[in-house]
Formats: sequence, C-alpha cells, structure tokens
Amino acid sequence: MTIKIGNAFKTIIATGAALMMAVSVAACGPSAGTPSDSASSDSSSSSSSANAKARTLDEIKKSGKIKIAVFSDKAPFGYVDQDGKYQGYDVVFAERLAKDLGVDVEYTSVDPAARVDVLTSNKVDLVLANFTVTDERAEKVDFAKPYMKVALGVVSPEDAQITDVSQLDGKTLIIAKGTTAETWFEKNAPNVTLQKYDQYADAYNALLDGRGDAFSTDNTEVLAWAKANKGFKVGITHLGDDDTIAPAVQKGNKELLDFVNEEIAKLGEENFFHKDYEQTLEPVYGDEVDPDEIVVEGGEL
Amino acid sequence: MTEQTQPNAVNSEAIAAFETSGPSAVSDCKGFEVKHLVKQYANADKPVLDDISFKVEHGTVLVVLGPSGSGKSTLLRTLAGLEPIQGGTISINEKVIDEGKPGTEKAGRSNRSSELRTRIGMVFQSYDLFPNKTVLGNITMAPVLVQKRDKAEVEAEALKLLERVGLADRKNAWPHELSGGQRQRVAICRALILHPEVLLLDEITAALDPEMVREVLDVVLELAKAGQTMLIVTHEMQFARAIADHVILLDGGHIVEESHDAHAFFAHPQTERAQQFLRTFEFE
Amino acid sequence: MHGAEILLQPGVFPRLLQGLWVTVWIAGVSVGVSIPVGLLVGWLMTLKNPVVRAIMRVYLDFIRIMPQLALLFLAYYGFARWFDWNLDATGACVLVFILWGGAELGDLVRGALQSIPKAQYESSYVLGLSPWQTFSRVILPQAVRRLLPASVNLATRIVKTTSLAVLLGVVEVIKVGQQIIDANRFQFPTGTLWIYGAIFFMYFIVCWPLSIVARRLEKRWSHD
Repeated sequence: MTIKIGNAFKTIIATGAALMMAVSVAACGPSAGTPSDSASSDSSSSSSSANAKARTLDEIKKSGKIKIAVFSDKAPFGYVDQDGKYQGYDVVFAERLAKDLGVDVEYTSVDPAARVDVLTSNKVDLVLANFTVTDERAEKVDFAKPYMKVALGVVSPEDAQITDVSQLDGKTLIIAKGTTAETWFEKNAPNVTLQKYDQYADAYNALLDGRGDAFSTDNTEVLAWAKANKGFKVGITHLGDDDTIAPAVQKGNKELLDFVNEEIAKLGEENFFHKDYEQTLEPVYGDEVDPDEIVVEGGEL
Repeated sequence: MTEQTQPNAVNSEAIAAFETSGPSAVSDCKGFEVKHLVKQYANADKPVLDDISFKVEHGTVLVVLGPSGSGKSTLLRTLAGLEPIQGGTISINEKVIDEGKPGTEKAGRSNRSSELRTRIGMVFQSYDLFPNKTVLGNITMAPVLVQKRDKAEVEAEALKLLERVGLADRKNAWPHELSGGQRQRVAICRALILHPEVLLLDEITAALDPEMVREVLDVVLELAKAGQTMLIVTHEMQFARAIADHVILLDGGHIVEESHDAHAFFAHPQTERAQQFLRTFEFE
Repeated sequence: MHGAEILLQPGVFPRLLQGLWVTVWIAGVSVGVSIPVGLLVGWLMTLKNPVVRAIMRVYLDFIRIMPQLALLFLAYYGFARWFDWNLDATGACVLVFILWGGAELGDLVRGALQSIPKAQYESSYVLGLSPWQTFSRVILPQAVRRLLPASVNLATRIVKTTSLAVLLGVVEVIKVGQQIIDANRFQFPTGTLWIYGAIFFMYFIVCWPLSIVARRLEKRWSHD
C-alpha cells in the first residue's frame, strides 16, 4: 500500500489538532476541582496563566478568583457538606480572605501529600489545608503567620480517665504509626507500653474493644472523636510542644504572603478565629474545650 | 466476438449477463498484448520473466502452462499490476498501460491508475473475498466506488451474475458461510462486474476440494463461450485443453512453446520440454 | 446495619452520581480521542520507515513502563514546572489517558492490521480501489473486528484507572465517596463500606455493559 506522504502528514496534523482540542475541551468539562462551584467555573482559569511562576496579587484580582487548596475530606477543617459545598475552619478563613481581596474562591481539593506540589507548580495561589509548619516544608514553601495550633491529646474511657501522663505508667497506650504522638511518647514516657496501628480506624476500634487504656494523637482529632463516642473523654487536651498551622504560598510570593499576614493581624483585632472556631469546631469538640488551646489569633502564639 | 450457440444448456439471456460492454465488432487491434516483458527481483541474479511476448486476441482464451517456479504466477501478477516490470510493455487494444523501467525492482506495485486496473480483472488462488462484506457487497463495491456507477444498476447486474453462477439465493450470505467453490464463483462475479478487457485466473481451483473444482470450471467454460477474453494459469489439463484457444508453455522465465491450436499442442507438442511437461500429467 | 442509612442521606446519591459523571466524562473523552490517535499510531507502527518505527517503539515502551500515576504527576506537576504548561487536573488526566489509550490501542491496531492477509490488499488493488478506499473500506473494517474485543477491555481499564485522578485532586466518584464518608464519620461510622459498596456498584454499571458488548462481538466475529 502506498499512501502518499502528503496525505500521511495531513493525517498527523489533523490528529494532533484533535488531541489538542480534546485537552482544551477537557479544560471546560465538568469542573472536577470544584464540585461546589461547577456552574461558575470557566476554562480560562488554568490555561490563562500557563506558567509555573506564582500569580501576583494583581493577577489574582484581575482574574476575579483566588485559587485555594483545601482538604475536602478532613472535617471539621476542610470538607464538603451534603449540598456539595466546601465547609470547615480553613474554608471560613478562605472565604474571608477572598472577600477582603474582592474576589471569589476557586477551591482545589488536595491530599496531604500534594500540598507542597500544588504550590510549586502553581496549581493554586494559597494552601489552607491544616498545613502544619515544619522546617522541611518551610524550605519549599513560604508560611504566613499561624492561625491555629495543635498539640497532643489523650482520650480514654470516662470510667478510667487518664488526666495526666504519669497515670499511664505501666499501661498500654494506643497510637497511630508515624504520628507526632509516637515520637513524643517514645522519647518522653519510656514506661508506657505503646500499641501501634496503621490506620486511625483500627486504633479507635482497639480503644473501643479495650485493647488499650488510652489513645493519643492530635488533640483536635481525639476531641472530635470523643464528642461523638459516648463514654470516652479527652482527659489530656494539651501535651507536648505546640505545632502551628499556617497558610502557605509559593516560595518567594512575597506580595501574597504580606497580604495574608496583614489579614491575619487585622482579623485578630476582631477575634475572627474565635468566631470561626465557634462556627465550625465547637459543634464538633464541644464546649469543654478551651478555644485558646487551638485557636491562634492575630498570628501571635 | 466469438459468441457460440451450442445447445448445451446455455441460455442466451444468461450469456448476456456475461457479455462485456462496448461494441461487439471485432477489430484487429483489440486484444491484450505483452511485448518483451522483463521481471527482475531486487536480489536475484537473473530475471524471473525474460523477454516474454504474446497477444491474447479479443474474445479468446490463453492458457499459460508450466512447472512450478516457471514464472506463471509472476506473469499474471505483473499483468495485473501487482508487480512493477523492468522491461517491455503491457498494452490493451494497442494502448500501452504499463512500461518496464529498470530500477523499479524494489517497488511494491505498478503505479497504474484505478481506471486502468479495472480493465484487467483477476481471481486468485486463495479465497480473497472481503469477509466484512456480504456476497452482494463484495461484488458491488468496486463498480460503485471506482467506476461511480449507479448502485441500483450495479446491484441488478450483480444479481444477474450471481444467477448465472448459481448463487442468486446466497446474495446476502457472508463469505465465511460459503464453500470454497462458491467463494471462487463470487470472486469471478466480482471481477466480471467491472467489465474487464481481460480476466486473469491464477490457479483458481488449486486450493479447492476436488468435488468443488467442477462447479468453478463450468462457470469459466461458459464465460469462454460468452466471449470473455481470459488468461488462465491452471494445472487442470483436461480443462486447459477444453478451453484454450491459444497455449503457451513457460519454463525458467521463457516461453518454450506457443501454439494457436490447443488440440494440436496437447496431442503433439513440438518441443521436447513440452512433451516432457505434458507427460507428468498422464497419470491423471 | 444502620450504616446503610448513609446512602439515604439527602445529597449523598446525587453527589455520588455527579462524581460518577466526572469519572465517565474523563473516561469517555479519553477513550473517544484514543480511537483516532490509536488508529494513527497503529498505522505508523506498520510503516517500514525505521525512524518512525523507532519513535513509535519508544513511545509505546515509555507509556508501558511508566506507571500511570507517574505519568499523571508528570503531566500535572512536571509540565507546569518545566514547560510552563499548566494543565488543570482534569486536562492532565485526559491527556495521560489519551496518550496511554493511544499507545495501547495503537499496538492493538498494529497487530490487527498486520494480521490482514496480503491477498486483501491485492484484491483491492486489482479491483481499482485507491489506497485510501482499500484502507477505509476493506482493511480497517476487518482490523476493527479483530481488535474490538481487546479495545473494549482497554476502555474498561481506562474507566477503572480514572480513579487515580483522585490523586491530582479531581473530585470524581471515589473522592466524593471519601468526602461523604468523612463528613459522616461520627454519625455513620460504618458508612464506609456502604459508600464504597455503592461506588463498586456504579463502576460495575459502567463497565459491565462494556464487557458484555466485548463478549458479544467476540462471539459474533469469531469466524474472521
């Protein structure tokens, strides 16, 4: 069979064009990144700034949208409610930032591991996804001032409550592998027997079954769990060093960083994060928790 | 035209279905002619076909005989344009359709136009119907696509042809539902519907079960009676003797004997090579 | 099991269906565009030109060796960082699945084209068909029959592999499921199984007809 080169070439060009079209069609397909916002999403959002370099504040204002990465399955910080709307402590802050900037928010759902990458490849302008500040992360992204802090908490059955670490001596503590709780107890409480699980779900089941005397992980997590499980109480709500949680922008995006920092300072004056706490976290943690153990106001620890 | 009116069961309407288009007046220039044809493959030290010349008069049948490897099939393939030729000419009605050019040894096909290709029909040894088309679809595709003929007219003619080869009731069958003999008869119809000047048959019964050979050869015999110009390669000597107007014996890429009297050729071959060749069939 | 009630919560099913639509959309566009790409690639693979062949070989091997997830990350993060080509998550998925589908389908097309007997080309030539007519009317229809069952399987694989899109932040059916599970984790601690069960059922509904079609066609065209 002899197909003329000219024809073959045309076919290649045509198919190439079809491919490009498909990709651009994909860009205006169902707005997968923002299910809550599918009606208003448009295709230009990502293709207009075809650049891994971060957008300036002006560019964000001009586009009318700030792109913020949040969790979509980590209630109560970032999750999607039954109407498909993003909700949570981080989301309330995101909405306020956008409002003060005079733009809308375009949410991107992130997994914990993707939080650095979405910034370095300029998929989003800002990450507000319960992002704990660490030295390692600070080398890759720029953190703004904190708006939350997290320490360890210990949950135990109400009838055998653990209210102090010393009570755990010679007892079994359930922990999830790879968490700060594991490191802290190994270092600071050698007399506690640690029972380790890969999944939170398994760890909770172990506690429910009585395989251990208590369970320790981030205080926010155990507080929420204890609220929903009758007969269990967080006897220690604050243990170990505070880790801070802060917004992050692409390394070097000083303009946006400054804006966020100014916002945090300004919002501190109106006690914004306490209101945010009341709205989103209190229903989950209950009123026995002192908001000041979690909330950071004005970026000041 | 050498339309014969022998009484044996050939009805004249059916013959009409086989009739090739164009004026029926025979003129001297009509026919299929090969002059000094040379076929050379790229890495061979000598040509497969060397200086072959013959003419098939319009309305006659040429039978090409020869041992295997003599170049018979290659000859038919070059005539059909499936192999480019390196020397000589192939012409229809004194119009050259293919001219040998050295340096084309590696080329895949002759660069004949579609129109020229439809003027030479060919049926192969292997069943080569298109499995994705019905019997009718196989036959009507080329006239509609290539000759841009009216679909209804083509279908009507296809049905006539199928009736003639006894397969009218199988028009909607798929090739895989047909026997080998039936497939070859459909393949003949598929070639005929284009009204080729000459029909090339390349051992079309060689792959058939013996009981199916007859049904195919009968069709070819009737075609000959109807005046279809044909060039036939076959190993069926009885059939060759019955159908040939003109015989050539090929050996080693050369014509070793040519005769315009088939009966004389089979009865008293002139050359020793022909005598020897024909003796190999005596046990049949 | 009262966990089943999670499925009856307002918004749960519509949201799952919305997620399924994203899945089906990505898979549909990918498969749809893979077909012409695969045909072209398959045809290029049959060419004798050594350069074209080598390029196609490298393309196919690259796509086969790389895990789809790695390709997705390359397209999503890598392109943005190296070439300033910032695809959105859905676009990156569609691009990767087209490249993947095109390569795999191309190989199927190549195999099918090469399995068509030479006599089919020769008969077409003698009947006067142009190369394009030969390809489109004779060779391709036969090749398609031979490769269709395998391509339907490929399409099913693409549908299933769209679940990797989660990792780029695409909110497709699995992600929606995770969101629902998380949002209800205190109310319906055993809801996980039910949501994943519903998702399993949805994938089944999408893929099952495909495998039925594949089996039917295989049976019907087995004689070729």
